[in-house]
Amino acid sequence: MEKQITYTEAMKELELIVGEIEEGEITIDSLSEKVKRASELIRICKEKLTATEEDVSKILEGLKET
Amino acid sequence: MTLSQLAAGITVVLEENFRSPLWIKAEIAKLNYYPASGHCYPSLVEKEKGSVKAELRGTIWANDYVRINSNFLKVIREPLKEGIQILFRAYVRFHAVYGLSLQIIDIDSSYTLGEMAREKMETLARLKGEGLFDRNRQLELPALPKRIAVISVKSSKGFSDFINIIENNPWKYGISCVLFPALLQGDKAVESIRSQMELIGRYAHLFDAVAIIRGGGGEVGLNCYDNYMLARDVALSQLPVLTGIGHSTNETVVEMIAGYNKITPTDVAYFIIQQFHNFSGRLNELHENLATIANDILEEEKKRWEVFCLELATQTENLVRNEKRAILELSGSVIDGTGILITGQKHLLNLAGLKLSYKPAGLLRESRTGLENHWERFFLHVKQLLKQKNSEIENLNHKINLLNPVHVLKRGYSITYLNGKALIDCSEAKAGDNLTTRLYKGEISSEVKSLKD
Repeated sequence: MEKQITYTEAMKELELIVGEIEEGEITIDSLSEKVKRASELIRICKEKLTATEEDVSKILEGLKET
Repeated sequence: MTLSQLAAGITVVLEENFRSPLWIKAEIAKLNYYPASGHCYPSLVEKEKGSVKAELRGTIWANDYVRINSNFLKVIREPLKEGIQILFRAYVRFHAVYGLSLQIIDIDSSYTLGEMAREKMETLARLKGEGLFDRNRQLELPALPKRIAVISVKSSKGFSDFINIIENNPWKYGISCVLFPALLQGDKAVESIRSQMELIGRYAHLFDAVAIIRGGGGEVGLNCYDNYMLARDVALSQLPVLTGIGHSTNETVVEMIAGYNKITPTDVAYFIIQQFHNFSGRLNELHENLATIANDILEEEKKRWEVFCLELATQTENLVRNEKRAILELSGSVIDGTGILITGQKHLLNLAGLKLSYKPAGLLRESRTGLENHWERFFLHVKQLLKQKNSEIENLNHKINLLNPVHVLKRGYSITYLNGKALIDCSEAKAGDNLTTRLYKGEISSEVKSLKD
């Protein structure tokens, strides 16, 4: 499931979490869980920055053949 | 009259009526340029509401064509081409074989420029009227434009500049580009770009943006980007279009319609990279905020907790103190109460003790008299015994006193000592020995003269 999250979704969720924490809408109990999730999202987003999309190179191959 | 006689007659009439060259407005429907000879035979038309109202053949001789065309390129940055409105100066010619034609000796390029500008305005007005003008700009560029469909020419400088920046970005941003080769200037560019746009449209789900990249091809032949059909395709593209057509004159319609006109290929590349920077920056910002805020919350909670603990301690101390005081007060009254109780009980005990003392006292008294009787008898017995022993000792003393030599000495006896020893046998002494004689009172020293047994 984690693999399928897009960077846009990840960023949105991240913004939401940080926003929630900023607004103080988070209890101490859920803080660690939220921070953990946010860290995971940050990692996903950072990976997205440098990862290249494979399907595009496949298209390129396809175009060369035709 | 022969056909040639008629033709000659027409020629005379025309030459008489159209002796000097005339300024005429028309559209070039077909250019019909023959590079081998250098001559040009444009088909000139006048249209009204789409239908042809008049059509005449034109002739531009090679030397005229070179002059006119270079002027066009200089002023309009477009060659003479089909589909443009021209104001030209021409002789009306009639030839027995080739018929009627207009020999063009000059074309007013500024008129065409104006016409093109007018057409451009009309195209823009039409696109606006159709609600297409802002269409592409309203598309949201994904935060990370990672997959770019590039319409360009592989060998062009513009494309290589673009790819170089994208692929060698030092931040290692993962951007994939797929090239859709097309002609990028001149009349054929419209169809070429449109067909690639159509192809990209079919793969739209695989791309984040389209980039039209041109550069290094000179500044001529960009009129294609004012073409309504091409502009329309760009406007209707499902993907945001980025343009880097790289010219320095007026913005073309396609550039106006495109979501992001960055003018040069390198600017398009930097723009894409910038999106990644923005994303990365926002990400880092969120990361920092997250850490700071989370720490703040924890710190605040800790402080709150400390305050609470302090409060708890104070409250507890107060409570304990109060309870202590209460207990002290209570114990005070308990002691008082107990004191009273004890006094009462003591009194009772004393009474009881008093009662109790009568009996034992009697018993004691009896015992004491008993004991006293015994003691008296024992005492008398001991006394008697002592008296008896005393007289016995006295007798003995008397006897001992009688034995004391003093009493013997008193009666005139004396003791003779030789060398401190009582001399009992005279054989122990010899003449000349010094003797000491002890009397009752005093001593006599003497020397032995003779001995007698």
